[in-house]
Amino acid sequence: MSDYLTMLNERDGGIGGAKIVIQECETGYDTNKGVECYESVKGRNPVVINPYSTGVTLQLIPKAAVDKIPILSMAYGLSASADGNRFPWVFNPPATYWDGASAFIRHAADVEGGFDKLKGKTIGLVYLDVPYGKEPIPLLQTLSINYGFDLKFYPVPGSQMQNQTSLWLNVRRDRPDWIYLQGWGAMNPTAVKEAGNIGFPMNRLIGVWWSGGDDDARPAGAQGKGYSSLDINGVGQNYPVIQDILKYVVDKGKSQVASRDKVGENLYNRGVLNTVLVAEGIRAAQRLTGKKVITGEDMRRGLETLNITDARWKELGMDGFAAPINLNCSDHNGHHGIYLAEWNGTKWTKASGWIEPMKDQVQPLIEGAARDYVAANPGWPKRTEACDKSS
Amino acid sequence: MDLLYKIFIDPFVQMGTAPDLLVQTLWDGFVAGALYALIALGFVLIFKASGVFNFAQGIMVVFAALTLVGLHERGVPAFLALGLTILVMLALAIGVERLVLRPLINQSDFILFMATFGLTYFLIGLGQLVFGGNPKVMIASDLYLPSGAIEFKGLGGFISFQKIDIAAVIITSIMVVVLAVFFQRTRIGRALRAVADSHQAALSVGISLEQIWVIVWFAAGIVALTTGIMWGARSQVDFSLEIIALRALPVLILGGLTSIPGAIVGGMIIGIGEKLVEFYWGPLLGGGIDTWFSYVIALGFLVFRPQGLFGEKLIERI
Amino acid sequence: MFYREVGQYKTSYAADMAIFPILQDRIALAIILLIAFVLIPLLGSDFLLNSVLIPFLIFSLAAIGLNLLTGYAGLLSLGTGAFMGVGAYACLKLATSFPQVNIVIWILASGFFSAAVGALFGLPSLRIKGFYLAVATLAAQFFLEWCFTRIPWLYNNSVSGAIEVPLRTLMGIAITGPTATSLTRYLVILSIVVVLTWIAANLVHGRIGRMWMSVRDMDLAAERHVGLSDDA
Repeated sequence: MSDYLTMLNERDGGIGGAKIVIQECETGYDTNKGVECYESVKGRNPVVINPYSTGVTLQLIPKAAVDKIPILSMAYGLSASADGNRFPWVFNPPATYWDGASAFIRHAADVEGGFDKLKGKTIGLVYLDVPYGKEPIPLLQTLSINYGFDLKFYPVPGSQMQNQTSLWLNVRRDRPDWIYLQGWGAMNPTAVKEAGNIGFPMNRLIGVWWSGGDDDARPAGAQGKGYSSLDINGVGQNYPVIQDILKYVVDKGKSQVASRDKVGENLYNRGVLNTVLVAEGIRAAQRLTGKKVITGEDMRRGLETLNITDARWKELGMDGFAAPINLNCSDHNGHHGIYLAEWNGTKWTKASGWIEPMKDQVQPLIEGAARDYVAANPGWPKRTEACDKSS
Repeated sequence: MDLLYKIFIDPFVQMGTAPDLLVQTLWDGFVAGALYALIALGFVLIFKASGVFNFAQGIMVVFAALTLVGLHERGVPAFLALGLTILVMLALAIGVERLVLRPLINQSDFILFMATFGLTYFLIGLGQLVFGGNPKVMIASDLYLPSGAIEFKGLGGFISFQKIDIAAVIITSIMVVVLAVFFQRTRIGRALRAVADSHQAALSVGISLEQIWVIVWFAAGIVALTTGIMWGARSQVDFSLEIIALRALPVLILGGLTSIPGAIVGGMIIGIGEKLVEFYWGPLLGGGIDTWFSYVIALGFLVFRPQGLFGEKLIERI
Repeated sequence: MFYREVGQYKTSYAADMAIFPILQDRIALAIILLIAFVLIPLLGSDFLLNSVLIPFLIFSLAAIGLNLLTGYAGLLSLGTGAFMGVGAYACLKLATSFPQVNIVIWILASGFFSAAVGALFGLPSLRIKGFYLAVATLAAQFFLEWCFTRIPWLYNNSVSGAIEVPLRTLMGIAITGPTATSLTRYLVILSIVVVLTWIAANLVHGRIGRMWMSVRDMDLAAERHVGLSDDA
């Protein structure tokens, strides 16, 4: 993640003339440690926080408005925080987990030959038994009622991440037609391996974008060929921006990456996407306020008016890397930009065009969840921040 | 009524109608049992000889596997890496004996137990520092461990035997036989049994406690390495392997803390029992019950035999 | 160590049996309490309070509980983490089900739930001893962890499964929830810890503490001679 910002510092002298300082904190995916990190970095007036953990994000959401530091939880965190009116300080472009789950169902419907063909089929959800894993459940339940498919749950407790044989035996017994994998870390490669072991057709196993790392598919070896995952960013080193990163940062030894060929892997590029969003947010904030050095409040306005068109992606050297992103005061997400990537045995390849999430199904859920969240937390501040037009 | 049917009748109906899944479950349980027995063996070895409940056994498994894979990553050929890792485990055994056991020689069992707690966190930190926190793939193919599966079609479906599982069972059996022979037939084995009986008496016969402890921690280290290779080959090598060691604890209390046959039998009972219950009764409770069900099995046995099936009966005197 | 502990004579049994019979000890205690209640709030930063002192106080309290169980009564237990969890969830359920009652009362009441669950998992200690007991208590750890994630009623059926801490006040000042300052939380936690430590210290110096110690040292003898069963 820091490589892109370092590259900007090196190549352009920062953003709009202001150099960027990155404060890292290793949380080990432990929510407590994450909150601790936040508290210790708070005093240094950061302009944005990237918690990189749904659990930590959930804890930080109430604090964001009080501390006036925006949270950028790119494609993770609380799906309901896409509602900008109720969560003015939280942003989660380009897609929520509900968009992802709906994109999966749309893809399944496409392959089966239409939404009506989903009726009577069985769809399984293999997920890590923590808030992150449970995120797609409400949407999948709604869709299962609407389209008439049977939904089965296969939770993986944290301590069982590497010991999933019984779970996949259950899958073997139930014979679902499709499986959606909302996995994390060590759980992913074991899941893909076990799916192969029981002979589950790999092209019916779709992972969420965090189950799409190269390290997730590689250990399954030849069996993993055909495993697909939803993706929000391009893969490979073939983008001018990645070439710049290699030139200015990696080859000069300023990067923490393990080896040169890890640059361009799926999760590496995702980090790049995250920091591009940060950088563009800073640029937008600088344009809005005319200041070179911005504050957290300015950053919030910048992120809220984020508008990255296809032309801008090309300017950045990332043509086709990600879908256009357009945020506004009520929509902090964009609900766009998912494609299907397929593992061919050695790397991820683009296997589809941009899949549209089912906005008509997702939007009411987001509003409902946001309303419930505010109702469950009396004293939740009403939005007082003004709304800027995007530039 | 429906609930009673679900608990008492349905699982057996399922067993009957899908016998291939039943056999598959039994086989998976057997393999899991063998692997749990392997971990439990490490605990039993150390407890038998030094009376220390080695909480660090789990992290020793991870550490051994990490060392092996880490050395291989740096370009060392597979079997040389294996040899070097064995030497590292020997060094670890000597280090533990010198720095942890000797200063605490006459302290109570609980203090030694807490010392192994400290050892655990030290090894976690050291492992992360030297090898990094990223998960790694076990070099199974380089060690000539088989991969793929043998599928046996029949009984209404198919039963797949992962070749690595078959290898794991064979290797575990060999290890158990070797250890049994070592304990019963060799001079050092006799010395180990003497030390387990009474430290004072062993000293008076001229057995060097320090040497014995190094030997026994080294043996436990070898067992840990084997365990790490097997578990790592079935999934991958990272720090969550340590938690698997905690799953082996019910095996220990079921079989008795001081008994090698107990570790084997306990492992089988827990492994098979756990898988059967999880598969047939688990969905009733929402799944995921195998994390704690093994403790229920073990506790059930303990009510009748508080020292475990084969453990030494504690004779208490006032 | 720092001062001579002899030479202070007592003239009544009560004075002799006090927990801090030596004057210097009492002065030291007063100084420590002064630092904790007055100096640290005045001088401590947010980070010090939030990330260092509050967890320190919380874990000290848990350690005192474990000390009573393992140190004084000699019963090895590895399930303390799970029991902490029971207390936390009990407090959450009580506070959200009865929002009118002050939360400090619920904090103290949830201790009883924790005690009940602890007693349940302690039943095996009637038969099992030593490390076998330690592992048996680990069962509490795994079982309760499973309960916390699998029983939606416990986390108020929240969609994401995460706990949202509700805003609660004491005498008009917020003490829980995102708007509570770290200073108020620190003082509330400190007061609770001081009170419970005082209770624990008194227990240990009294009859119950002596019973625990006799069970630890030789439970067969304790059973026979002191006339109590292993249920202590």
